[in-house]
Amino acid sequence: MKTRQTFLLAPIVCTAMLLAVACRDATAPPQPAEIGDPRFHPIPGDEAANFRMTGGGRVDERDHTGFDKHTPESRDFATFGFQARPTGPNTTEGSGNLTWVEHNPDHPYGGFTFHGRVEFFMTSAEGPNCAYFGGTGRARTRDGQELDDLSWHAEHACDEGEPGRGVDHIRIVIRDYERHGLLSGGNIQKHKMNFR
Amino acid sequence: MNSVILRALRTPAVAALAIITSLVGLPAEADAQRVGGTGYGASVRTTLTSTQSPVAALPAGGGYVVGEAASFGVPSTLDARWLTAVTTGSVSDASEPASAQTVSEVESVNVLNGLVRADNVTAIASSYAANGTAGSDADGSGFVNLVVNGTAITTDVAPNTRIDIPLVGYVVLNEQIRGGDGATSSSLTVNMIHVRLLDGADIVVGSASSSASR
Repeated sequence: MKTRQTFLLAPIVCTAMLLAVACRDATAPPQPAEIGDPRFHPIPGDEAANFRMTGGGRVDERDHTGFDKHTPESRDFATFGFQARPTGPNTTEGSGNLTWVEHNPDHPYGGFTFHGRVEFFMTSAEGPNCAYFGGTGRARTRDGQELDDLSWHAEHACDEGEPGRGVDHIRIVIRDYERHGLLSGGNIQKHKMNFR
Repeated sequence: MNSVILRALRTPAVAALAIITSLVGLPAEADAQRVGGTGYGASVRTTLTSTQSPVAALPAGGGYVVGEAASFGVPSTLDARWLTAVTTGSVSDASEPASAQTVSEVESVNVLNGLVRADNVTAIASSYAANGTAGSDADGSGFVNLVVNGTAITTDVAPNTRIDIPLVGYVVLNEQIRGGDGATSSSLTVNMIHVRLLDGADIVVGSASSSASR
């Protein structure tokens, strides 16, 4: 039986079962108040971007130490696809979409499929070929739940060459979930942006 | 001469023609790049019927498309859960690569009452066309806990691995079909499970394709 959950505003965002999340300092321009997870605000150094990005693929690791696909009995990996862009010049407002699928059955929800809207897009301190973007979305978990109004961000998505395996990398945070690594398949591509 | 042109543009019809002309006068490179992508979780084709899970199909200019279903099945033929296909890509100008990526995955797969089973099937096709080179790859494609005709497959499956099943037909695992010239175009279709029965029926699980050209 599917249940609809809305994130409750609370002083403590992490529990013993969940990963710690680094929340950005709220020094950015005021955001609309909402019931939900804390928004991730831009930090000093993040700027409006003059490029856009698309990408899709697979991440097996949780750091940058390797990129090999796990052995065939392992479900510890995630797959994704996205397109993201700024809505215009000199703005950090963004548009686009992301799908992220976590397959690890040891995840608290047994794994999930997440669909997110891109609401901000900017450069990333990770490097000139990287972007930082995010917004809100919803997840359908393998244990039958539907979670709405989830804040998410790609702390960085980086295009370091073609093909992307072993060189492109991404770090995704969805509320208290995180995965971060080099691609074991697929590609992330940075594209010029024509503002007309 | 300039005053003649300005007087001409005051005519609405001429002004409209000038606007249209300026739009079609785009650099040739902007129109040359193409991308493509198609993904779906599963399909079943028999002599009597054809059915397919939701398809994600990428437009030639790029974008982001998702096709998914919580479950998909044909009695006694195929049962599958959590089918998700997403295809993305974009074209640009001549200085940047055109690229497309498709990911298609399915969980809890059961084909022909256990003849082929897998906990997860993931198909990934990725293509790019850059300056003087184009390529595609299926990196990241794979199975979790695959069993074919009672035999567990415990290692990665090489492309186009065929397993004959007497009195039934055959299975092609990690089927890869490549195209393009490798210089200006490249394409790849990945079908992770492709069952062909003796009666002509055709079952595909985990299909992803991508293409890029310039």
